[in-house]
Amino acid sequence: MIYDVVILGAGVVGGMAAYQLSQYKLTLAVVEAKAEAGMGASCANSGIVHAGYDAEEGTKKAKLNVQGNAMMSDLCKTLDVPFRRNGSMVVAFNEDEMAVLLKLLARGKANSVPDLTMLTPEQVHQKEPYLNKVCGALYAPSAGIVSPFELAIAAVETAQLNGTDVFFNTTVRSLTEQEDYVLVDCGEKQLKARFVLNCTGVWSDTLAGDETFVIHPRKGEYLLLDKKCSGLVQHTIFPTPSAAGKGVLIVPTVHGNILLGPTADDTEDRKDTGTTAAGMESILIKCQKYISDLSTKNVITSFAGLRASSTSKDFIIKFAPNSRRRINAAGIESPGLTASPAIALLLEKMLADAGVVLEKKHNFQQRPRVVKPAEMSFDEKNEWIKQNPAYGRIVCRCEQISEGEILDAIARGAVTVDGIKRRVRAGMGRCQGSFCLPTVLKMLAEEGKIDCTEVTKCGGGSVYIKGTNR
Amino acid sequence: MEKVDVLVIGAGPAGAAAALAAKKAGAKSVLMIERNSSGGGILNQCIHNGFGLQLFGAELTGPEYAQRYADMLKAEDISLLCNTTVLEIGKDKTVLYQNTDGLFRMAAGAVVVATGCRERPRGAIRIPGTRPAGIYSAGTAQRLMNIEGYLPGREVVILGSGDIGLIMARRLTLEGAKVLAVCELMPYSSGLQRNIVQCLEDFNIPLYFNTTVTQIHGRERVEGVTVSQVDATLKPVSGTERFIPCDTLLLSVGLIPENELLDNLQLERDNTTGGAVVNERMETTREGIFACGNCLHVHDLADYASLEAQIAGENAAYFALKGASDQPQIAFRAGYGVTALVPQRVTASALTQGISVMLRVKTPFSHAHIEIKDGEKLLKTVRAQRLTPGEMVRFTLKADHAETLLAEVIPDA
Repeated sequence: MIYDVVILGAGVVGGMAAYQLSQYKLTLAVVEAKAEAGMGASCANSGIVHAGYDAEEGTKKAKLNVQGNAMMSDLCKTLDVPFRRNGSMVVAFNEDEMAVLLKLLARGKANSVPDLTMLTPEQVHQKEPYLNKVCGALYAPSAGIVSPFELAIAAVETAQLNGTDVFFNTTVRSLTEQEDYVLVDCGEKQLKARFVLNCTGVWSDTLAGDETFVIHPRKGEYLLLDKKCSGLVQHTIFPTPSAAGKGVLIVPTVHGNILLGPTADDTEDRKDTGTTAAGMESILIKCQKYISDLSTKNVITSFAGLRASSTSKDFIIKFAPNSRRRINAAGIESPGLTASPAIALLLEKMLADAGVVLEKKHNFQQRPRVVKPAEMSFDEKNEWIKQNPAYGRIVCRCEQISEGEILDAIARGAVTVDGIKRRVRAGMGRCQGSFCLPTVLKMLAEEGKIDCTEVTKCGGGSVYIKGTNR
Repeated sequence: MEKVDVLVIGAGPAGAAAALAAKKAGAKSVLMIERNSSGGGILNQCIHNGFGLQLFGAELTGPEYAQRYADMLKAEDISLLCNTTVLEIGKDKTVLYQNTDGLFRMAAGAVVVATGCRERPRGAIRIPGTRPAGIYSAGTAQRLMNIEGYLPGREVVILGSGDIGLIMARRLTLEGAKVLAVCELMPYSSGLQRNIVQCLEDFNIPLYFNTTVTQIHGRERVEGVTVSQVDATLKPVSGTERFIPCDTLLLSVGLIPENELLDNLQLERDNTTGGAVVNERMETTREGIFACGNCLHVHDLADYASLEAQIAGENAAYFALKGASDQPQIAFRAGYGVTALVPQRVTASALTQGISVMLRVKTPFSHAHIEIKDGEKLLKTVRAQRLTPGEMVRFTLKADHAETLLAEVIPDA
């Protein structure tokens, strides 16, 4: 068979494209090198829904950012993904920085960012009492925070539910354009596609068929603080941007942690997601500029992600040169997460313009709501547990995640320990899985009908168990 | 709402001892709530011996020690609710908990918190590098081996010479894994001397002091670690890096008292112990809420956690039956060389009867002793076999009168 569209990459960009297109009567496939959706940059970023004042007027970044931001509330409600419009502040500590904020304000207005205002030091203090004294801030109430990996996972799960074939652990080796289709060569698996959407993030230039750009991954390291620190800041706090980028920020997560970062270091290694001592030290020093007595005492984990930065200043969303079938969505760095639903709409339009007939499915369905006992009232939860006892047994004590929720995650498609963690947060808390890992391993083995020695952290050779006792 | 005299949260060595003591002190109804599938707490996975010497005068394994308590609890008809998680302790001493039967509230005359501790994870010490599978806290590896029967790794580096790390070095070796190195950041071990001898020296496992892991390698599974020596300020010394190929890194880098249940009670906390501030009855600054065991401060021996819990359980029963006792007037402070001590508050009337004190020193001291003073007045001199951070110092303090209390290390003349 020939698929109407094959999407390369199950990150947030590929995932949103799959979700969008799965609403139509099309044959779709998603090819993902990793074991699950959202395991690349989508699982290691700031989780910010940007307002849209950073990108230059007229760019795709600017337009798709503002458009994606506006879509996010309804989208996250529909997909049942945590999202909150917490607002952002770009803070200035001196007059020079204040001048930059005024430029940002003007740019934001030109980009049609809603409700942008400047705040006085007193107003900032009132909104963020723990913050050091500032000269002023640019306030964007439309900025928000989202769970980025849950967004990617929800999009892919919904696409799958609506008939999209998803091939995990499948790496694309080459794309060959024939008269009627593109041959997607994945080694053992060969797919044919009328159209290919290349959403492969840091790998996108290797499959682009376009010599006009190159990806230069830029690493961002983060520190995650214990939920005890929840309330340290309410808004996303940015420094005044410089030539080096948007800088290191303090941001609350939708789950109640505080995230510090990212650094910005170019790397040639597209798999280099290791943290560094220097990087982590620099995050702390930079964040102490906002909050002097910030310490590393409550850090529960650190991680790094790779931005798919390219030689182009703007997102690259266009057909490969001399191709009628291959569309690249490349160089999707920040604000890519925010823009992802708008990018999906743009890709849809490009396909329609290229002759793809978009006829709505009458039986398109959303995935069932995620059961979250922690958000239920006493009576609701009591009743729910009585009907479904597995939700009464807590497995992850730090995040208070029940056996029932973990079973749900597995039923939804989780096959790895990280897949469980990113779906329902078991192992995401302050002990970082010390207590619940053995139980989660056993559940994955039992439900997946595999041996415990085969259960992995994130696919491939990431096994936990090396054998049995003598 | 149902009500019990004393509700104990946690059925490990502290919780069990507290429940038993409460019953013996006259509490009519005692309920223990345990989140795991059986009582015993961490004892269940501690299949090595060395338990019970202080309390039972016998050298027992962890499960044997737990069984002794299980038998005594059964004889006293004390209820134990397993697979049950406490979600909240109210200021009015009602406890919200859940299990597979539903969500419940239970009123209590007194509450004893004995929730134990957790291990410090990799993130908390910010070891740079990748995030592959094969990085375990020592206790997780212990659970995988001793409860589940799995070998978590074959070539292992252990960071931290805490007791669990030392015990696991021996355990892994016995199961055929190769323990390549135990690295300790400090110039001394935070574990018991007997464990260094019996778990490392007897098996020729090298222990490197002033050494830490400065990089984790491997994308999917650990492929090795870089270890470096550290200087006097604990900073890695450039040029001393050494790569050790291994498939597993075990972390034994500290225990953190688990006290999230106390967060909404607005009681006084001690930053040095990580637990609540208590008086000599093990009562927190919120009346009728008691704390003991490793959630109060991390103990070196389970026996001592049980002994401390007896005090908590007994006094919880008295509180439930008779109401509040005298409030403490004297602050007990840690002075030179002392990291932390328990109790931090002392009632004058109790001091005349004698109170039980536990403390830890900051660094190893040779030729030194501990003095307890009220201002300039020396109340007691304590001589311990060893003054080292890994071993707690326990003693009874009795005085007719004191305005203030200070414990400090004094070098021998």
